[in-house]
This record gives sequence, C-alpha cells and structure tokens, in this order.
Amino acid sequence: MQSRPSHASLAMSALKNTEVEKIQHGAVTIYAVDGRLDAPGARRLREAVADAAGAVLMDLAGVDYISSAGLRALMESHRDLGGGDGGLAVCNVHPHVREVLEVSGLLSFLSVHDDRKSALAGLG
Amino acid sequence: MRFAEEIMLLLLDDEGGKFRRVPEWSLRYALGGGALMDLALEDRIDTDLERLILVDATPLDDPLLDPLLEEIAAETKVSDARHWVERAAGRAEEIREAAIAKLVARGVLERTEDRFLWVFRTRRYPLVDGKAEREVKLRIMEVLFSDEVPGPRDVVIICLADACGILKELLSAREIDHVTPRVEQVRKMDLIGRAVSKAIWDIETSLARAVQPHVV
Repeated sequence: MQSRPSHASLAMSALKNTEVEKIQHGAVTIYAVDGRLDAPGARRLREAVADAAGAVLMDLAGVDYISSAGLRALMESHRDLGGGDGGLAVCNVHPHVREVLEVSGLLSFLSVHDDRKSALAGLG
Repeated sequence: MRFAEEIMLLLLDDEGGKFRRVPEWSLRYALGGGALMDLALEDRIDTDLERLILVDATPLDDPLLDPLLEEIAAETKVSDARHWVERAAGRAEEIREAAIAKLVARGVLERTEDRFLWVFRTRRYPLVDGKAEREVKLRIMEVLFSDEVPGPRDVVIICLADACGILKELLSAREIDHVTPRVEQVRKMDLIGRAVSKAIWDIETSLARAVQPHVV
C-alpha cells in the first residue's frame, strides 16, 4: 500500500500557491514544481510551460497531490512537446502522485526518473 | 459543443433521423458522466481518486450543465466521482433534452413529428448539417488508430462512446478487436470516465449474474 498524504498535510499544502521555477541546464529546461497540481496549480503549470520546447524535465519533488486537472496539464504538456521520445520527462515523483499517474495510465507515456541527476543523464 | 450533444449526434441514425437504441442505463451514465466531464473541463469541478471537488460555482449560463453544477454546489457532504456519476445519471433525461434542444438551435438537427397509423406521434430529428457529426467521428478514429497521448476532449469522447456501446456502430468487428487495447488504455485517462465505465460494468455484471448465477 502506497502512502497517501494526510488530510492535514493536504490542507497545509492547499494554503500555498503552486510555484513553478524555470531552470536552464544546458539544452534541458527544468521546471521545478512546488505545490498541489489541482485546478489552480494545473493552470499555473500550463502557463509556465506554455513556451516550452526541446528537452523538458519536470521536477515534481514539491508535488504531493495531483487531481484530474493536474493530470490533464501533464497530458497536454506532453502533447505540446511532441509526445513520444520528445515528450515530457518527470523526476522525483511522490508515491501518491505516482499512484494517480499509474491508475490513469499516463505513467507509461512519460519518461520517469528517480531524481534530477539521473533524469539529466538520460536526457543529455 | 457539449459532450451530451456529441453523444446524441453519434447515436443518430442519419437515414431515419432517429436515435439508435442502446442500453438505457449505459446512456444515462454516459450523459450524466459527460455533463460532469464538461464541468471539469470548464474548471467548475475537479476530481481525485477519492473526491469530487467544487472549484467554482459560477453558472455557465448553460441549461445542460447549470442544474447539475447547482446540485454539486449545494451538497455539503464530500463524495467521490462514482457517487456523482450516479447522481448526474439521475438527470439524464433533462440533459438529453437540453442537448437535443441545443443541436436544433445550432441548426445541426431539425425536429419533425410524424404520425404513425394516424394516431401515434413519433418524433424524428433529421440531420441538417452533418459537419459536427463527421468531426466527432473523425476525432474518435484518429485517437483509436494512433498511439499518442490524446487530448483531454478526445479522452472523454472515447470514454463516453465506449460506455454506451456506440463504437460497435462505428467500427467493424475486426476493427473493434484491433482497437480494444487502445480503448482500454484511453478510458483510464480520465478519472470521471473511469467512474462511468465502472458504474456500467457493475450493472452489466449484476445483470449477467441474475441471468447466469454462476458468472462471477
């Protein structure tokens, strides 16, 4: 059984706005997401990655919750980046988020890495 | 165009202007689920594995969606997507009528009444403009015969078309065999779509058990 965030931790993380930091690492653009990927968080993520192109890594270390809206945001980002091998890479996926990605089948489309270092090695 | 409108278009028999018969429960869940999915894509509700959450109660000025949105906004108890699929299915008749009225108002269908044996009235909806219907069918085919991640609207229409058995009308038996794994893959991608499929599966399983008690 995978661990789920407690209601208390969800309530705490719901209080802060989701932030997306853009970091350029050579040819790879990293988007470090911090906060919930719910409807408002998904909107912020879509805005942040609107101009993304090339190799993109989404670091989800700060994301412990994802809803349908968040799933759609990841799906659309992956499509916008061309899907397939040129699509979205993600790393540091929280167990609860991984469970939702697995249930929805989206996990099999994304390039999933344990951490930023291994992701960058894979994308390089 | 709302999903309920797209479902009604897919159900339309172009020749006779009548809607194809599909199991009543599956159409109810598809229409209710479609309305929930529209509310999700309009950022009015959101879902996770355990809950359906109200995001914004502002009406959309749409008679097809606003009554359901109002019902969700008025509910104080938190429930999952499955619960709300059941509740929305209870509104299927009004969703269906609103969808047909919108299609008629858009000039896609027209409403005509015939008399059968000079007494019984039957209603038909001949297709006036086939463009929307062709586009929905094309979208479905493109997704089913591709292996890319589909767009959110495409995921929903596949879920709903599969839920009420329309795919069997659009594809040959051989094509159905070919696309079945893809349909199973796509319908998982939307959490409300999953709840619709599960609700229909539960009913079909209980019916099968009632007819053949040894079926598990």
